[in-house]
Amino acid sequence: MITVLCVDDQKHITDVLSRYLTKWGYLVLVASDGETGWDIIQKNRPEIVLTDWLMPDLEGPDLCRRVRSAGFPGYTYMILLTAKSDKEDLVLGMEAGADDFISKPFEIGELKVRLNAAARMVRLERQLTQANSELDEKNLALNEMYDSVKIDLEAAAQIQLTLLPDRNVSLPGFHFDWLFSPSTFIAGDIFNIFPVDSNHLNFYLIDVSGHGIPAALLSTTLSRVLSPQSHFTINGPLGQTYCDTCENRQDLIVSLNSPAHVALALNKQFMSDGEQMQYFTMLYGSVDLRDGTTTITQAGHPSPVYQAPGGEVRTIGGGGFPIGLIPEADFEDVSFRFEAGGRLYLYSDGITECRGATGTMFGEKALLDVLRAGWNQPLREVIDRLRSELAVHRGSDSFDDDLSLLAIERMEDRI
Amino acid sequence: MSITHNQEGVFTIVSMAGRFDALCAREFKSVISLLLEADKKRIILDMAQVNFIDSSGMGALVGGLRGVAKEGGEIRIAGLIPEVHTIFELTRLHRIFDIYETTAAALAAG
Amino acid sequence: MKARTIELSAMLDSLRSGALFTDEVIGEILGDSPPPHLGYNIALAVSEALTNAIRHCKSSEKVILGFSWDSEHVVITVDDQGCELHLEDVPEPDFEDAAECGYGLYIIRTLMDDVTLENFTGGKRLTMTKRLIEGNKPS
Repeated sequence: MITVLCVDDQKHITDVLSRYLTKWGYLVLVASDGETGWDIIQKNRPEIVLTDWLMPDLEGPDLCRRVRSAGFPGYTYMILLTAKSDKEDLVLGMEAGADDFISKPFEIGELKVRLNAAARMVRLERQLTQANSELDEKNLALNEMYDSVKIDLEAAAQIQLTLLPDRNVSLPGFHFDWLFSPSTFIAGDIFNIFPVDSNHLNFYLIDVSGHGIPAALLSTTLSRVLSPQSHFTINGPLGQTYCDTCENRQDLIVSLNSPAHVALALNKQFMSDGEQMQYFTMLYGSVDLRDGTTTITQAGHPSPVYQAPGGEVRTIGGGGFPIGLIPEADFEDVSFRFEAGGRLYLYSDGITECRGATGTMFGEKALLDVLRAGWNQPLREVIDRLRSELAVHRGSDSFDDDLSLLAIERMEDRI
Repeated sequence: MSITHNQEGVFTIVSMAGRFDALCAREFKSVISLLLEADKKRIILDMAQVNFIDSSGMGALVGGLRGVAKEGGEIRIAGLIPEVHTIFELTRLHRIFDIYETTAAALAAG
Repeated sequence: MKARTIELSAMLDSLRSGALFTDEVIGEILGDSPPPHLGYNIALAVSEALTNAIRHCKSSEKVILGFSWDSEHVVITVDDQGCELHLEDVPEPDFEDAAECGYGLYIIRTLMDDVTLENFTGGKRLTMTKRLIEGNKPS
């Protein structure tokens, strides 16, 4: 129901108005002067106010002004009752904030039409306000949802960081450092380096297809499957066989000395089922600490970069299939000698395929240049430099794809 | 930015290289406090390899100088390239440092 | 007129990328035989402006460094999402007391030919202009 306040110092007028308005279905309030009208407006907030122009204390236009400057939340439709018909007066009334005029003496038919128009406006305004507040509520709910998803993702990102090798842990005879920059909060890239026994140091870098949550779920699983804690020895050292501690022990039986067998076992266990085309590329390697013999297998991953003491860089290996795509895929081991003072860089293609403003890729050459130039710099400096070069190339330090790089240096003084 | 130090008689020579800005200010301050803890209060800053310094780097130097002076020590600065020297003048901080052409000159000044 | 920009996270780490970017662009602007000190002074003003912007922003916010230039001028802009600031409210450095901070804007104003700061809703832009030919303002 719409509430109408009638303000007039002449009682017979308010009586007539009151009678008709009630008959037409309005809830009617009455005030006999402007100040009383203003009190009622503030207290009862009527949607429509019908007010006389000329009143002893507070005139109609002044009442309009007060209502407009009060800034009430809902709209108050103001109609001035007036004997005036001069154009100038009408302008004055409009300037004061009146919405309509009814001339005195008024005709009942005209009054009805004018009030219908006012009521239509009031209803429209109500619907609009309601729609807006519903929209606000929905926005609020969306924002809350976004905030909670963001908090969850940030927590997930923190957990993912704990899966990466601890920079403060020193490995016998080796330094390492890394770059890890997820394109969203969490990455489909994962890597690790860890001793498996007193003579072997293993390392890997994996890039799961796609990025975001689906990729991160698989990369996290892979990190667990490949982590040193989840394997235990079945046979003696050399020729050792490691086995996953999870339920299906037979699923992942990995011969330690052959990274190719690791790739083979993973390819069997993580074959895409057709619907979920999720696969990953991997570099897996193992260094024999006694003579530096290093064996790596490359599963569809960019070739790692080996830097000989002195700074010269070369890539090692030549391709291979990604894991989880082709059931009958075979993987090869490639061996080289990790010299004292040499460095090995494993990276994901997010680095070389990082696109600049003009669409050009960062490229392998630019990467090799940075690595070559950083020869006598600590690994940290080389990585910082690389990240800066990538940001400059891209024109931004947020990236489309996950970036990761694992740098391993064999110290001079060992052996 | 890299910061290394070695002992030369009573002086500790702190050699800096690269860019000295807000990113390295904290590292510099921690090196100075480590030296003070080890009671190494006579310090020569070899800045010949510093190719850039901004006001954050200058601020770190002033902070370092204050910390060392409080312990009754001194900081001598050596090897400024012309561009870097300009900022010492621009900030008028050349007035509070002992500045020498070379590390050798700083050592020889006794 | 040529232009280049880089968008950086408001973290001190970004000074590294900002400096590399600035060096690269200065090389492009000044070519093989730059006038003495000019490149250094531009790099210094940029470093001061970036450090100020980064210090006054949350780390989740972005700072955008932009260069545009022709043969006569280089115009450098630093946009940040930090709070409102008016150049006239920034005090001169306390030279007498050999202050540890507060030199940034003074250095920028000394080295650049024109410096303006505009505030917008949600951020501000520092614009620094430097003439590349004859008549550099003496420092």
